[in-house]
Amino acid sequence: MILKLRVNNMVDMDAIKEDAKRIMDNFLEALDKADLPDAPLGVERELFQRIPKEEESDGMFTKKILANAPKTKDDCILTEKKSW
Amino acid sequence: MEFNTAIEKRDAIIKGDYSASENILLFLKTIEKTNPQINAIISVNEKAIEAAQVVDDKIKRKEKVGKLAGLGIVIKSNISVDGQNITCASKTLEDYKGTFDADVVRAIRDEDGIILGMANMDEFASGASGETSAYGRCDNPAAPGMIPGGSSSGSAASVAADMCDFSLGTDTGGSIRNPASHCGVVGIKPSYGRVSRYGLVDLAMSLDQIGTLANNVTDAGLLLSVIAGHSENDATTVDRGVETYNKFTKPQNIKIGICPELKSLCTDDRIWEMIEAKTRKVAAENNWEIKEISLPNVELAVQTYYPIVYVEFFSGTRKFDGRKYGKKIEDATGPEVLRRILGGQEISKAEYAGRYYRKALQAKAAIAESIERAFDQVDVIMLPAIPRLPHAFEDEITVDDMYGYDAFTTAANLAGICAGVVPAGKIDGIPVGLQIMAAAFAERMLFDVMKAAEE
Repeated sequence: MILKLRVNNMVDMDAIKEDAKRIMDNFLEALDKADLPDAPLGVERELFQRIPKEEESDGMFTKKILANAPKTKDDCILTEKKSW
Repeated sequence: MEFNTAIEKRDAIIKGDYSASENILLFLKTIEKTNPQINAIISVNEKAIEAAQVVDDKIKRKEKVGKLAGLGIVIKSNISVDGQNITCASKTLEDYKGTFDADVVRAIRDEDGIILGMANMDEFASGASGETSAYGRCDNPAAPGMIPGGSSSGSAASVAADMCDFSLGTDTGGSIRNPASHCGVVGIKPSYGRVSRYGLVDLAMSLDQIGTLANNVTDAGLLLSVIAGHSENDATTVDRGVETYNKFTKPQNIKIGICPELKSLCTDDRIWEMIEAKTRKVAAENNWEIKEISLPNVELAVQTYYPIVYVEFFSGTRKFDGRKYGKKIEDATGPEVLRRILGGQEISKAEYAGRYYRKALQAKAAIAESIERAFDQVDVIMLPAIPRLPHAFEDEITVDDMYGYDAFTTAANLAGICAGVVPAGKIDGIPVGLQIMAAAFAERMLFDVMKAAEE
């Protein structure tokens, strides 16, 4: 059983963006008034590349991943240059 | 057959007085009958009966079975289950099938638990009401016509509507505790690092935790005992050994902290009074002490939480660009998800030089320190889970009011501590939850106190 998707109403992206900025500005104003200690930003990392799991290198996993991609050809995910 | 807890039911299944197949079939029938009204489940696992039969066969052959033998579990739709629909309740991932089991799901299967299906939720866990799902809103079985809370709306509602033995939810700023409170069930947000997030579609990775919901503290503890522990798949998990959370002791000399200065955040005085009375009752019945504490900066938890969520969510959603997973997120999602993405994009711009995020991290550190200091004086802190009763579906509510639902829950995520909710009573027939916070990795004691509060 899979439920049917609700159809979203059209949304006004500019209005949402403005609303988000208003909320963030209000929150920042409240935080600016508080007496807060300095906190370090970021963390030190030794490893910058994720090591693939064992299951990711088997053919079945690749097949499942490809099944989720909108456009594929053979073992590749197809995408139009600069389309994202 | 009737059981007080899922543990009693599991023991009957192992003994042969009841079967996993009977249990799962009953839940599937309940889902078929009730889900059209409640909308707690997005998709059912077609292989649930088959999996139950495997457990029954193991029992017949007198093989050892796991701690969850034959029990039915619903999983929030942002946790990967191999072959199931991992939609995050969004059109973006409408056709996406899980390609592997999350660590928590693997742990459940290893203990012979049966995955019943995928729960409805606020889209990409962005919401506190259960209304933002692309699969339609989820109703509150304990207060029909009212929001069930969110974002783990279906996880809480499926437990409250007897569609499962227990469920998994996720909690980034209160998403387990909020619906647990509104639906009158038990919910637990573990300490950050207690449970592996491997296989979770993140909302804000520095705050997210997977936790459990159940009809009672014992069952919530059983499921957490199974999913807790270190995993090499998630470097943020802490290797502290696995504890058992479904066996209890009566702790002596517990000091309960209460924080009167937070009362101003409670928009319904009746809730504050009910939680205060419940706290005094629990303390009196167990000979525990109540101590008033101060929690500086905790009143800024919501203002601190959202800038962090906006920035981390914006960053985390860049993978949904329409190439590898279904649709581009900006083309296929609802207003609240868009608000967080566009807001996160805006305040991440170079011209702001990280001003919003940096300030929020400063406040996060201050809140964490404030709470850490409080736990030098008291063992637990008791306060309401939610500052108001749930609104009715027909009520208009502003974004600012919606974010206000998180006033008492986000601090636990910012501090990385554990916190649970148990039902405290009802106001106007609507459940109200008592929230109990404990220090990071003090789940063992938290469960003892939750058990005492439940009784």
